[in-house]
Parts: sequence; C-alpha cells; structure tokens
Amino acid sequence: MEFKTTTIKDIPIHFVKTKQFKSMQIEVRFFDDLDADTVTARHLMLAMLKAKTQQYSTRKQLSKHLESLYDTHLSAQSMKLGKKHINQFVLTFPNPKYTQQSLLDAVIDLLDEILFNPAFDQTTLDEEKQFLHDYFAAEYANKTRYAAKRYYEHMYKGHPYNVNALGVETNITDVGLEDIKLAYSNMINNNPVLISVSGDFDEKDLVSKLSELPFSQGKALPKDLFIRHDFKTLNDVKETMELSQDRLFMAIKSDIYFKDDDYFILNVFNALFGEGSEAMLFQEVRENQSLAYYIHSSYAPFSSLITVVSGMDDKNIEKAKAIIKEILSNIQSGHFDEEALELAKKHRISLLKKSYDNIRSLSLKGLRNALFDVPFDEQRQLEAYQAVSKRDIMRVAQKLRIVFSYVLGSDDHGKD
Amino acid sequence: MEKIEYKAYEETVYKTQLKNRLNVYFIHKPGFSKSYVTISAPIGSINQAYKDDKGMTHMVPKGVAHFLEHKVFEKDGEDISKAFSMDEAQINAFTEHNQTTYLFSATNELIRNTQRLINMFFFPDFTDQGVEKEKNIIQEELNMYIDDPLYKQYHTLINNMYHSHPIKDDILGTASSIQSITKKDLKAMHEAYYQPEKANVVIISSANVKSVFEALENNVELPQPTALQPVDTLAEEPENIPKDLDTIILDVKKPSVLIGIKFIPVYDNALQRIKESLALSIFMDLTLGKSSDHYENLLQKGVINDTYGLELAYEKEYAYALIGSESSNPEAAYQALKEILRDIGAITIDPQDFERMKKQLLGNFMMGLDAQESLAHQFTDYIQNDVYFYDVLKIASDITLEEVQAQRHKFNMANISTLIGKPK
Repeated sequence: MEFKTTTIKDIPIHFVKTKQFKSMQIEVRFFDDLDADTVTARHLMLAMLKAKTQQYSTRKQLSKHLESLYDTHLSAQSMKLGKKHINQFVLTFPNPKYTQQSLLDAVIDLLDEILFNPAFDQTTLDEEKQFLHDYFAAEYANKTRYAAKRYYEHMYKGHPYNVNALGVETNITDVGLEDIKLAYSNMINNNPVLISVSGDFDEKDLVSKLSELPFSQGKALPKDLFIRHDFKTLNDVKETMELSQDRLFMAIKSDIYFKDDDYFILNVFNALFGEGSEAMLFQEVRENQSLAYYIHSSYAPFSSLITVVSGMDDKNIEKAKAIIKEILSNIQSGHFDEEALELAKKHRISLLKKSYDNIRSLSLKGLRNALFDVPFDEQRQLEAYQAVSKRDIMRVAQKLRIVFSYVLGSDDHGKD
Repeated sequence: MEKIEYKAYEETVYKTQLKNRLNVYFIHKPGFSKSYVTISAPIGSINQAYKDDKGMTHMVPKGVAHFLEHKVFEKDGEDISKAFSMDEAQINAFTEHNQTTYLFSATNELIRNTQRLINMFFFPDFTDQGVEKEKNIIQEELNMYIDDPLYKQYHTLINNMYHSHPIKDDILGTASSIQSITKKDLKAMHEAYYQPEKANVVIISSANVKSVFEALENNVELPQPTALQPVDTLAEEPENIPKDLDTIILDVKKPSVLIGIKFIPVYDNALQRIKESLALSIFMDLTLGKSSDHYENLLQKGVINDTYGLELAYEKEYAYALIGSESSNPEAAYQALKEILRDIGAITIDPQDFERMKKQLLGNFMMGLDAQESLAHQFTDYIQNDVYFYDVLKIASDITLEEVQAQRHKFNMANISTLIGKPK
C-alpha cells in the first residue's frame, strides 16, 4: 500500500495505491462553514446533483447509466466535521481489469457531469424537499435514534456544532431554486476541495484525466476545525413515550480533543470503560447483572464527549446509572487489573489494523492526513496505544465528569 | 486439500475436511490484515424439534436456536470471548430463520482463534445458572425489537402471509417461550443440529493455507456421532395467504405500505433453486427496481418516497418478496402497486435492459468480493446448496431473457398480502 499526494490547480489529491481491492474509488469533498442559515439549501443542492444531470435528465436515466457502468455506486452525503460542513461525492466502481470495457474514462465523465452539469428544476427540488421532511419524520420511528436525537438536542443546546448536516427541518419549506443555485455556485467557486483516489490505478493517467475537469483554482483546506466548548452540567431529563424498553444516554465530559496529548490514552480508556463486549460496562451491566442486552460508550474526538448508550426495563435504570458511575470511579481510583488494560489496548490495536482493510476508511485516513497532518501509516498510532500505562488511564479518567443523563421511556406508572 | 482457482476474479478457494468430517473452506485474500472466520450450523428459528434414538420427535419451546446462540459462548461457566480478545479477535454470532452462524474477525493468531471457535461451537458447557441469567438479557433484546415499528410491520405481514409455517415465529421466541427454555432443551438441540458433518467453516485470510489446514487437522477435536437427529422442517403450508389486506397502527409520523408476495420455492434441486431465485431477483429489479419505469411513475404520482425498496428471500423452506415504502397516501400507493402487480404478467423485458442488468451483476459481484464479511456469509449460504459462491456469477450470466421473462407468471394475486401502516 502506497500513499502519495499531489495537486491539480492547487487542489490536493491523495492517492492510496493498493492491489488489495477489486473496486476503485474516487472521492471529492467540498468544505464550507457549518451554518444553520445555509446548510439546508446546501444539502438539498447536493441531493439534487445526485438525482439527475443535464445529460441524464431523469432519476431513471442516471440509475440506468450507473448500472451500465458495472454497478458503479454514486454516493452524495452531507457531513459535518467539527465546525465544518462537507459535501462529499463518492464514485465506487469495479477495477476495469475485471470488466470487458475500459471504465475509467466513463466514470470520470460521469463525475464531470454530476459536479459541473447540474439540472436544477422545481419538480426535483420539491421531491427532495419532501424526502428531507420525511427523513426528519422517520427519526421519530426508530426509538433509539429518536432518543439519541433528543439527547443531543439537550446536550448541545447553544453549542456551535448544534446544526444537523442535512439541514434545519423548519427551513426546508422556504428553500427555493435560487437558493439552490446560489449554494451550488458557492460550492463550486468558493469551497476548498480535496480529491481522494483509492485502488489499483495508473496515477499519471488519472491525474491527466482529473486535470480536464473544470474545477476552480484550489483554496487552502481549513485547518482550524473544532471549537473547545465547556460543557456545563445539566439536570437529568426523562421524557416519556410508550415503550417496552427505556433508552438511557449519559454524557461524560473529557475536554480531550483529537490530536491532544491524551487522545490515545482516552481512546484506550474508552475501550476499557465501554467500547466493546470486553469492556467493564458490558461485563457488569449485561454479563454479571443481566440488566440489558446492549451497553456501550463512544468517544467523539471533535466534541470531546463520551456517550454511554443502553436500553433496559425502567425499573433497572437507576441501578444501571449507579453502576456506570461506580465503574468510572473505579477506573479513576485504579480499581481495574492489568489484564483488563491489556484487553483494552488490544481492542484498539485490532480496530486500527482492521481499518486498513476497507477502501472507505483509507480515504478517511487521507482526509485526516490532509487536514491534521496525521501520518497515513499505522506505526505511530500502534506505538501510542502500546505505551499507555495504568497510571495514564487513571490520570485521564480523573479529568472526566458525568454531566448529563437522558432517559426516553414509559411513564413510571404506565407499566404493570 | 482441494484447490480451485478463479482466474478471471483472481481468487482462490481451498477446501479440506477435518478428520474426514468437518468441511473447511479457505478463501485466500492477500494484503488483508484481518482474517474473518465463520462456522455455521443448519439450525434457525424454524427448527423447533429433534428426533431421539428411537425416532420419536420432541418439540422444544420457540426461540431455542437463538437462545443457543447466546449460550454457546459459555465454557466452564465463563464467557470465552475474553480469550478471543486477548488474541486480537472479536467474536459475534447471529441466528436466522434456518441457520446460526458464529464468527470472529482477528488481526492476530488465526490458527488459535479458529481452533477456539470450532471447540466452542462443538463443546459448549451449559449451566442451569447461566441459562437462567441469560433469560432477562434475551427478553431485553426482544423488547428492543418490539419497540421498532419496521420490525412490527414485517412480523405482522409475514403472519398475514403464512398459515402455519414456523417462519411466522419470532426468531427470539416469545416472552413466555424464552422463560420456559431449559438446559435440557439447549443440550438436545445442540446435539442434534451442531454436527460436524452438517457444519461449515469458512476462513478468509491472507495466511498460508497449508499451515492453517495442518494445524487444524492436528489439533481440532470433534464430538462423537450423536444419537439425536434434526427434524426436517418441510411445513405443510398452503400456497395462498390467509389475509390479503390489513392495517396496523404504529408509533410513527408517516404512513407506509408493505406488500408481501408469497412464492413456492423449489425444494429438491439446489441448483434449480439458485437459478430460480436469481431469475426472480433480476426480474424484480428490472420491473420494480429504482431504474424501472414503475418506480419513476410512483414517485411522480407522489405515492412513494426514496425509502422505497425491494427484498427477496428465497430459501429451501420458504420464498417471498417484499415491496415497501413510506407514503403520504398509502391507500393510493397500495392501489397503484396492486395494479402494477396485477398487470405484471403482460410485462415484456427489453433485451437492452437485460444486458445492462448483466453488467450490473458482474460489477456488483466483483465489488462484493472486497468485503470479507459479506463474502463469508454469501459463501456459507451457497455452500449449503453445494454451490461455490464464485460459480454463482456464471449461473447468473447463463440465465436467458426468456427465463427471466417467465418469472412474470409467478405473481399470483391470491398470494399477495398488503399491510398499511398508519400513525397513531
């Protein structure tokens, strides 16, 4: 596996050259500020680019064309990374050596068509607006997802990242075609761009083909991506809904961000605390106490929060909360054995090694390299995990504070 | 050791039989850090009985196959997942209607982890206390599904489509059946269904196959042949459906429509079954998929949205297709889809569309080989039918336009059930 970078018109391109996969991937990302006023039109614009183009003027025609390119997969996603909003376009297709026809020219032509020959019309906008309304409505249907949404709404109130990458539900209706065109023009003319290519390809050939696309002159990639936010302790919240199982969310404040000195230690802490099935939370809450089917914690390095998620009968919620607090306190005071720490490190190391087996995650590594100067190879990270000691874990754990707990569940008197 | 090279795909499959009893398949994937290994047994939620040494059939409570999946991880009263984790392996398992699969993905110690997986699979150590402790965990798993409107919809529709087939039952069982499961039920079903001759191991790895096979042959222990045997689950199920239209009230904001089409699967001939399922799948994609005229028309009428999707389940014991979407006007969506299905017998497939579909199949197949997980699961599914997954593309590309076209006669309005979901 070889990692290289170059530029076309000052636009950075990174190549991950590997013979490991049968597929290839070209990814284009446009960066903008995460802004509640513009995000809805920006997302709808992206959805419209994915729906049709001037040449493939209906959804059906574009779908058929993708199928004829040996099931080339087009994904267009709105994402947020810290305080930035990313419009991301990905084309995944089989390496042409397995198909009877040369595919690369056709795929680059399609990328050109999708990005630079849009077909914005009112009908498609209305359809996409309806789909987006429906998307937000569907968040209610999945109860764990809905509970997560409510949890984040409480937790992130007033936080600068508190904007959904897909838009603001109440702004959908007001978005008009002019807003879409403006969002498009802003993306194409003003946004910094990053291109990633992964797979087994001829680099020179690819650079020459990509150079023909009418990208604007490249702008510098954003370097300042996250905001350090002081999360305040909130009163616990319980919201009611008729459910068979209460959903529990707990927030732990760490103040440790991506690339901070303690970043790797906090990742090992999280593996010890709640990340996998060997973690202390799972072992105690599920295996020893049989309270829940699932319990896990996840660390979000751009907001610094650790979130614990579980689901259980309402009568067990308080008990589980007490166990979670006790486990955190045990780690803070060093009440865990070296074997558990060893397992946590192995868990992180194994996840890291596996992440090189997936073409999508290779492109993410390229992104991190471009934005944060993180080395592409795994060696430095492996060493960082291996070096974590019990004392490090205790020191970092002592910085952590539980700041909020949220429960979505039945009325206490609603159950027999 | 048998070696089959698929030069067009640059893939190689090796096969051996441990102690002349347990089939092991090894797919060589150079360059991958991760090895992915599965072992599967032909027992799922539809298997609810075993035969004793006198040929007597004994029924067990619903949900035993899934309960077993939870308890096979227990060894000497201890959960053995820690031993896997120490060797950089993460284990998991899942139960389907007709199969249970245990798996791990590991970045180290492939041989030791594989031996441990096989040993765990054949020699679990159930305790009464362990069985009792698991009941609440499984109940919570069931509660999680019960709160899911999509699951409720699926479960209700399947029950409206089948009269007495065990596919009607929840994979997890019911609250009361879970409580009634005993150590004896688990042991008996384990003995009857977890037999080396009926299990398959699939290894996907960059490791040296010869050393893996040799180590397994030398170190793996297999259980003695058993007195208990599986019971064939060919249910007496009429071709028609018990209920053609139903409405369910769900805790959602948007109404929906879900249509189920029941087919009679080819039972005896595995190759024919695979051909039929592929032809049906191609037919449905061409006529009802996202590049079809019907999809575009339904969208234009505003009766579906982009959640619209198709699914085909085609097994030896059951076959059905599902078509579903959220809908602002589910009655209109139902009427429109009903008309499409009623007239489907008159559909003519354009040869150009058919050729395009073949390209799509090839691309989809090739790219699918990059994901070790789905490759292992597909490989396992087909091996049950004595077909190598790598041969499926050939089978698919040999299917003719006429064979696909003939699928239009499989859609019988008497076998179609619709469920409309409405918000509270």
